[in-house]
Amino acid sequence: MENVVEVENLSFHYGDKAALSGLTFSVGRGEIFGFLGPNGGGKTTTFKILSTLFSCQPGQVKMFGMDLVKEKIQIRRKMGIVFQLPALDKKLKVRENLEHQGHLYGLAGKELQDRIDRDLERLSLKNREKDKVETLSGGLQRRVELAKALLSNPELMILDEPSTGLDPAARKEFWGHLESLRKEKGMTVLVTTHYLEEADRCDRLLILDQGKKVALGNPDQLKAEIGGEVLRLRAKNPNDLMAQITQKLKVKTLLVGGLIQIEEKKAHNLVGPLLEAFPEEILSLTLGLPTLEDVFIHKTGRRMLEERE
Amino acid sequence: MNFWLAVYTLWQRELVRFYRQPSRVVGAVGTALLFWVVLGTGISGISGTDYRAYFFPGTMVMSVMFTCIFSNASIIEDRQAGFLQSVLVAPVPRAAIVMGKILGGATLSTLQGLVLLPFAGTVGARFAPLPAMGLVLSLFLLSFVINAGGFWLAWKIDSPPGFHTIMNMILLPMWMASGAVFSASASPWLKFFMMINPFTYGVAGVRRGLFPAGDFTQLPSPSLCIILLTAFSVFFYALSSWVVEKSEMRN
Repeated sequence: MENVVEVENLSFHYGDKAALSGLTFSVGRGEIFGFLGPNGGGKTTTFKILSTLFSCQPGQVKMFGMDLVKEKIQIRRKMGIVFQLPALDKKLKVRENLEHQGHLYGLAGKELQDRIDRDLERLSLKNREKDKVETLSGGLQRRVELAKALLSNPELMILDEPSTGLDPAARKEFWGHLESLRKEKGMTVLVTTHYLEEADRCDRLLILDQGKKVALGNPDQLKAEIGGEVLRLRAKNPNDLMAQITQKLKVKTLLVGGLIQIEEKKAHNLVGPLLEAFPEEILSLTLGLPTLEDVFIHKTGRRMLEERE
Repeated sequence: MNFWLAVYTLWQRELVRFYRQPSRVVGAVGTALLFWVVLGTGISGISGTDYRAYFFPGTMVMSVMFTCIFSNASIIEDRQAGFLQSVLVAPVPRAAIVMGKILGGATLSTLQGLVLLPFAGTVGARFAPLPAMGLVLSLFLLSFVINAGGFWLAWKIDSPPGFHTIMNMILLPMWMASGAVFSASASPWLKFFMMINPFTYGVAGVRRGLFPAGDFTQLPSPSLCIILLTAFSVFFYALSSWVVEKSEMRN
């Protein structure tokens, strides 16, 4: 598969603080590729470099086979970008926003108007084209952002936390649009997110923590690496109980966010013995298949969610 | 060419946005007009001459100045709202983005100055084609200078109220020491300041345009006004473009 993005040993500093260290990955054409991690993990910095807002060193990032530093303008022509912050002019109408976008990408006249109609129809926005953006709901505004990014027929779409602030229904709908675009146009999609259910929808996922690669792979494969099931216990004295469990049942335990966690192939077999051995100490017990959160815990020993805003 | 299409689209956006916020339109013109009525009438009473006529060019420039401040402050809003980010990742040169924004602000400010022209008849202003063109050109070039300088400052400042305060602090003394309020000063440093002040050349151009028959031997010549204002425009445009180009690494 041809690579649309190739990142080699990418580092970035804010003053003395390293935001990214030695990141290497590549993205193939037509992939939906996700960046998952806590705030400060390096997702947004990566997004800003790939979207050409921040500069990197020559040779670190290649897109469409071109160097991001040397051929910035050519690369920009092939990308559509959706920012985390709303990038629409709220005082302007939906159609006006799209017209300005088209002009910035060198489109004008009938071709521009045709493309605007095409994208408004594709995203079911045609009946709102004359409305000022400030009168639209959050979900509709996001759809206009998507229409705006699509106007230049990009080969690559980069989105930074695109569904933050959307309700679950609007989020699902937004992702439906992304997936159909990939299917119909073979578009490559890069997306940063801290929603696990979004990360699950990606073909491949790069998990970042403190500017470093924690894991890279297909979400199901990453979860399979943990193998089996995950047990979580709430206890009166977690530390004491952990020691006792290890001693009695000979299983490895982790303390994550105040909960005792046990990752075992057949963790369900432990439920009976645990409850019989420590009926007083265990307050509650849950059994589940591993999630991407568990992958993160497995690799870093910390929870991802508690580090969120 | 993509450069001018980008300039055009950002210029147009600036105009549409401004006129969709009527308080801004009224605010700039209204303030200048009130100044003119109160200060003009008050000083006329003391001096015995028609100060309203003398003060009129300064009033037009004041309206220009306030509009420039509003228009520049929108750069800060754009940066905070994310609109500017989407412009910065478009395949257009930075210099086109800066030009579009400054031209938009300069056009608006010029229009907001010209809106006061109907009142000029009440203080004996006369219309003649060539001086009138000089007036429009002077207003426009001065607007361009203020917008280009303001762009540079706005790029460096994060809070809109802070920007308003700084702009008022810088621009009000420049406006006062431009021949808008008094014609000359005996103080050497003030004389020098008036000489290097772009407002001086804008106000002089407007004054000649309003009163073509007047005796203005003391004012800088029309060609000097145009040349200097153009030079200031080029300088501040280059400075703003350079700052934007250089700041790619910034948040």
